[in-house]
Order: sequence, then C-alpha cells, then structure tokens
Amino acid sequence: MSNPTATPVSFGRRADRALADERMRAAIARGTGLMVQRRHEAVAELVNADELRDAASAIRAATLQRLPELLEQWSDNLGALGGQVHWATDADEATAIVAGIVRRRGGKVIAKGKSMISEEIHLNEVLERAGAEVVETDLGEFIQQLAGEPPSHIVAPAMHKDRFEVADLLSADRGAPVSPEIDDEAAYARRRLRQAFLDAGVGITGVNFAVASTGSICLVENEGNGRMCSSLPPTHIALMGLERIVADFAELDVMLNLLARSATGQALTVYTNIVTGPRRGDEIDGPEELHVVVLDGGRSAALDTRFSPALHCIRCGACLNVCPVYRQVGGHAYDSVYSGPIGAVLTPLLKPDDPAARELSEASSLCGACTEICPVRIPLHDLLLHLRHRDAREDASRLRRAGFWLWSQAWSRRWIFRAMVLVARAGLPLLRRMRHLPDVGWLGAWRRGRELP
Amino acid sequence: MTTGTSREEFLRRLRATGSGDPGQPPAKPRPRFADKRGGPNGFIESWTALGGTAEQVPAEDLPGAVTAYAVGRDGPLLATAGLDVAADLTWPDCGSQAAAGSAVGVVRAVAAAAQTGTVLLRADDNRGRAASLLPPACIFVIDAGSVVDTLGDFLRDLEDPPSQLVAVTGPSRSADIESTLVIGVHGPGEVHAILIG
Amino acid sequence: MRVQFFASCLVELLQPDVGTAAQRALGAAGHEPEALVGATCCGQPAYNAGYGAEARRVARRTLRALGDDDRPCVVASGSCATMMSHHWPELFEGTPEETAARRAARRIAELTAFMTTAGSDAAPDGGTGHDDHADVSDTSRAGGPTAVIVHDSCHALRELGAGATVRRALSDTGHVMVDADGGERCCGFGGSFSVKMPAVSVAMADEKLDSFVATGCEQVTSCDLSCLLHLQGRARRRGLGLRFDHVATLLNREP
Repeated sequence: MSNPTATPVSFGRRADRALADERMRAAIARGTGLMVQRRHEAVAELVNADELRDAASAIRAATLQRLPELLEQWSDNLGALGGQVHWATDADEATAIVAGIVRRRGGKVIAKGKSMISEEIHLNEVLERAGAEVVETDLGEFIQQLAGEPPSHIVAPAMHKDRFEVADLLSADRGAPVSPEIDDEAAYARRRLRQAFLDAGVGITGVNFAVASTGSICLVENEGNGRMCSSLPPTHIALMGLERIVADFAELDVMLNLLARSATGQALTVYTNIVTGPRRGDEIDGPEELHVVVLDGGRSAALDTRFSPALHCIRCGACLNVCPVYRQVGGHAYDSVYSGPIGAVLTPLLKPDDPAARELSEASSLCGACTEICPVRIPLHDLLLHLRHRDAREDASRLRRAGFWLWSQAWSRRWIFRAMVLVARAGLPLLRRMRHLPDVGWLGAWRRGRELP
Repeated sequence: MTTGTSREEFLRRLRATGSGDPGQPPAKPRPRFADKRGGPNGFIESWTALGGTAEQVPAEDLPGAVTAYAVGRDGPLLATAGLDVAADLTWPDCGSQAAAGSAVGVVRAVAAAAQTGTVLLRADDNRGRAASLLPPACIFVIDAGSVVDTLGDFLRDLEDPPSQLVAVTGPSRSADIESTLVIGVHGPGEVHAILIG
Repeated sequence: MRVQFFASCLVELLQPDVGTAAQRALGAAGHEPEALVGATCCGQPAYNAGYGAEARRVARRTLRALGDDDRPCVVASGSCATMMSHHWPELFEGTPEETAARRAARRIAELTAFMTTAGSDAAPDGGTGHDDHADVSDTSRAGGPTAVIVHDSCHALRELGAGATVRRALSDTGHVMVDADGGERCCGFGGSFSVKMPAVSVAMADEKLDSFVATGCEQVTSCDLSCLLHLQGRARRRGLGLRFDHVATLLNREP
C-alpha cells in the first residue's frame, strides 16, 4: 500500500485492501448483523408480508411498463401547483440544472439531505467548484464529508467507521475534542449543522417516491434533516431517478410498509415527508420554489432488457446487509455509489462503457441471500449470473474462454472424463505432497489460503 | 432555463421502451398485523414504545396540560397561530428564527395512526413547519376521534394533499454511528402527544 | 423404489466413497439405485462462470445419460440437483433438447430430499427435522460422537429448500444436530468465485469455521461436497481439528 488514497482498479485488489482493515470489517459485520436482525423482527410483525412483497414487485413492474404516462401525469400535477420539473439525460445535464438554480437563487450555503442521485452525479464537486459551500446534514453523510469519502452503504453511509474514528473526525472539525460517546457526537453534529439549515439559501434532498396522481414527492428519513432541507431554505431542489414513480397513494402505502422495515427494521421512518409543490398562499414558511430534477443517467437503456428488474429497487439496503461478500469487504471495495448485490447489478447497467463496472458481477458467490431478502423480489443473484453470461461473450479473457472450451470438450466425452478421474485420484496425493507448487492460475488461487482436497 | 432535456424528448426515449400496457392493474393490499393496535389507546401504546410521551385530557384541560409540560424549560414556549391554547403564555412569531430559539413547539395534528404511533401534520393547518421541527421538544395536539389504524388508512383517502404533509413517528433519531440508536439528532428529541376527548 | 443415481463429477473425481455411501443409504431405505451410465457433469462450473455454450455441451452428455426414463434421479449434491432441476430448462431453452431437459428436470431429487419425502419404507411419518437441534453440552453427555454441525449449502437451502431434509435424514439415523452462528451464511465456495476472488472466499470460510469451532462440535456435514472441500482445505491450512464428511457418509455410519 504505497499510496493508500489511490483506488486500485480491480475489485479483487480493492477487496484485498479491505480485508486487511480489521476495524472496518468488525464495524460492517456488527452493523449489517444488527440491521438484518431488526429487519427480520419488523417484517415478522406483518401477517401478510409475502402478499405485500408480491404486490410491491408487481407494482414496480407495472410502473416500468407505463413510465412515460406516469411521469407525464406526475409532472403535470406538480407543475399546476407551482413545482418546476427538470429533465436530465445524464449527470452533466443534472449538475448543470442544479448549478443554474443555485446561481439564480443565490445563497452561499447549501444544506443537503441524503441523496444517492447526488452521489451518482457527483453534485458536490460541481457545486463547490462553482463556489458554493455544500453541507451534508445527514449524520452519516456529514461524517463521510468530513472524512472526504463517499458513503459505504446506501442507508448507513458511515457504517464502516467506529465511534472513535468518528470522534477524531468531529474533533478535527471542531478544533477541540469531541468525546467518542455516540450521544455526544450526535449532539455536536446537531449544534454544528443547525446554523447551516437556517443560513442555507438552497436545500437539496433525494426523492424516495413520486406520486403520479397528485404530483407529490415523498421523502423518508429519521433525523429531521431532510425535513429541514425541504422546509427551511427558500429553495428546495429534489433529485430523483426516473424510475422512482408510483401511481397513487395506495401504491405508496404498499411501498412504505416495506421500505423502512427492510432498511432499518422500523415500521416507518420517523419522518415521512410528502411534499406537493412549494409553499402556498398565506403559509408563513416553506420553500418559495420547488424544483425536481429527474435523471435518466442510463436507466432508459436498461428498460427493455432482462435487467430491468434492477430498476424496481427501492434502495432499502437489505441486500447489502445480508450479502456475505459485502460483509467481508464493505462498500468501498465496489468503487461505486451503489455497493453490495444491487450495486453489482446496477453499476454495469448505468455505466455500460466502464469495463471495471463489469467485473462486479464476479463479486458474488451467487448464494442468493440478496434475492431472498429483497422486499420487491428482484432476482439479484440471477441478474448477476445473466451479467456474467452477457459479459463472458463480450470481453472475457481469451485464456479463460479457451479453458472453458477445452474443459467442455473433455467433459462431454465420457472416456476423457474417466481418464481424468483416474489422473485426479492418482495425481492429487502427489500434488498434495509437493512442497513447491507453482502458484499460478486457479491452482495457485485455491492454494492461497487452502490445502488441496 | 434552457439546460437539460425537454420533457417531450425525455419521454420520447422512454416511449420507445415498455409495452405501455401494464396488464392487469396490480393489487395494492393493505398491511395486516399480528399485534393489531387501534384507537387512542393503541396509538399511545405505539407512541410510547418509540420513546414519546402521551396523555389524554378533556378539551378544557388542554391549556393546563400544555403549561404543565412546558414549565421550567429553558426558553420561550412556542405555539402555532392556528391553536388557541392559553392567554398567559408568551407567543413568539412562528418563523424559523423564532422557532429555533424556542424550548417547545405546539402543533395540531390532523390525524394519528395507532398501529405505528404516527402523527400527521399538514403545513397549511399549522401555518408553520418550523414549530414542529426546530425546538428540542414538541407537543402534538390530537383529536382522539381522528385516530385511524394505519398511515395507509389516512393516505389512501387523501385527495388534495397540502404543500407539505408530514407523518411523524416518534422522536428524531439516528443509528448512523455503530448502528446505535441516538435520540434527538436534528428534529425534536422529546415528543409529547396530547389526545383531546 | 427404483431410482437413477448421479453422484456428481466432484464425487467421482475426488471422493468416490461418497457415491458408494449414498447408494448404500438408498438401498438400506429400500430403494434400488442404478448409477447413471455415461454421465459426467451437470455443467454448473461453466454456467455459473457465464459460459452457456460450454455448460450446454457438458450437460448434454449427462442429459442423454438420463435417457427416456420415468424413475426419479437422485443426485448426491445439492448444487448439482439445483442446476439440473432449476437451471437446465433455461440452459436448453430454444435447443432441440429443451423438452427432454424440462422432463428430466422434474425427475431430479437431492439425496436427503428424496430419502425424507419419497415413498420410502424408512420414511418417517413424524420426522421432526429442523427443530431437532441439540445443545452441545447435552450431546456430549449423550455420547459426543453423534453430534454434527450441518452446513447448509446455499443452493440446497434457498432453491431446493433442502435445509430441513438434511437434518431430518440425519435425525432419522440417530444423529443430533448442533447449530452454529450465522448458519444461513454462505461458506464462500461459490464455484469459480473461490478462485476468482480467493481472498474474499477464504475470509468467508474463516468466519464459518470460527462459528463451527465455537460450538465445540468437530463433525461437519453438508449435502454439497464442494462446500466441504473448500471448508476442509481452509481448516487444514489453519490446523483446525474439524472433520468434514458428506451427509451420505454419515447416513451410513452408526452414530
């Protein structure tokens, strides 16, 4: 590790680095373990959890079948109430739209709630280059901003850090010690960020769901920072992926019953904010302007493919929490905004030209725990397998392809197979006794940590 | 503003995909619970399990209940304009700067959901979003007759949503550090429900 | 019942005794197993690595060996049984063998799933299966050697639902199950994953092995030899005194 800040290009290398970080692994194992346990208890409260999951899956699929109609209806309704909807084909367009609103509406400070889309389009960098001060106000995102790191988990961004690492970061920010007690750390963040909410000219948040029938956007969170960002600054900008839409409040109800339970094990998050336009008439507070930026960002290209179920995702993070690979290496090893099983599926779809993204389908033992827990029943491990099939055709190494071809020729002939059985039975004891085996290829990889069978 | 893609262009790309036909409209079942909680008592049970406090009083006792909860706190009490509580308390304006300096916010809820311990606030009803958000403590005044079973029972019948509808389920919290629960991160850490009637 | 029997390529290559043990267990339960002639492999190694054509080429050999038969085919591997029963129909979709693959898929049964559900003489009417776990302190008092940790292979657990049947088959033959923490978590084998991501794979095995050691029980079993070889290889490297035996071997062993 000559340069710990340079990110290695392959998942394997990044995983090696993560595996050496015992402190991070302990934090992830503890955090994901707790979240899974809480999720199981919360889902067990529902008598008809399976019925709701089936319904949620069908609702998401039906939504994708009529996206244009729903988006049109939603934006018409929101527009009629004074909300302004912007359409962004890619990250550049999305950041340009936001930067334009910030420039026009003034205000040096931007209070930002948690938004995965903002991470996806690297919004903070663009706004900071333009001279704005962007303050992440979700506790976990605030910690990550101080650390100069992207989030490592889509629900709990700083899950990989323990309270001592957090105390170091907060102390550096304060210029005086903050004790490594979690209550004290949260209290410091509350005081520190309070003024940002009051000073901010613009608040930026994500969107969990957009409701077509009323033009609403729904934003769920626990701390109150999302509510602050959408209530206090004179301008509220919300960012959403184009797939985030539901038809009506009945569909929203189905989703809300699953989202928090699957994510944090709560029946509902503390705040479920349903925003339908900017402040009206004689209301004394609330934003004067509401802007919603809808991002395509490669999603439409995945729509008519067998990978479209990946767009059913409601970002609960449950698949990360049960994934045994994520458990060992944490989120940063994926080198993507979206980590874990859903990240391994989504990243290559959103970044089709990035060869490094394609490698992520290998970051899975295909154990299926992700598929089993997904509240909207995305067949995640099947999609990972399909990605392998798609990519093996396109760009697998020649050596590997030749290897499988040779293997298939041999094992489709019984006599060669028989011969190999004899060779294996005679050869393995010899191999096992050999002290200095060449550590190359799959043999070497197996022997990295394991004895031969 | 001219940045971005026009809606027509954006949607045209989407029209090229999908059948446009969702088939059978999907079912939208309501949740069913093993431990079913309803009515004011059910609400109080759920709400207190989340860390909130609650009491049920006759309408005429509301000013006394608010005063009893608020006395001895550091800073002025705050109430919203829509709620006439008592004359002998000082009422600052409801803007965000005033709210930020207040010890307790008092707001009226439009409904509550018993199953999850959820209080529903309409921005237009309270004439002030900051009152339930910035002070460290908040009193929610709820008509006992407005308690429904679930959030969905309220939402599904909602036709004209206000500019902001907030469902508050307990005190502000976070588990972002070591997955350990802390109360009162940005929103009120102390939440008190007063059910009327 | 007369059945076909497929040991799996891994068993044939590395532990042929497991195949013999499985057939003996079937025989003891009143079945008449007949080993598939000409079968090699289900094609899974290539399929899970993304090589469909290669997987098909190999699977076709085994599909032909299954022949035009009505008997159930018992497979001594959870993951091969999953491949044949769940993935063959898709693997052969649009090929001349599609119908044959679909018919064959319906005849596939994992060993313990077959033994605990088929019309066997030895089939229990009230096998308590999954609930039949024991505290290790109880089992050591009851005579130690009968205690066994069941490692659920992911395919068997999630796609075949065979987690319960391995336990039931073992409890029917007098074994006592011990639960390890994180029992449903993958051991890290995952086919090509074990050699493409060796460090992660080994880290997953380590957590599994630690949970086994914590039980105090030294006998580990599973319906998948591949998981066991991976875990055993890691346990040997670490010098752990755990024993790994395929469930077929234990079914034949007097507890």
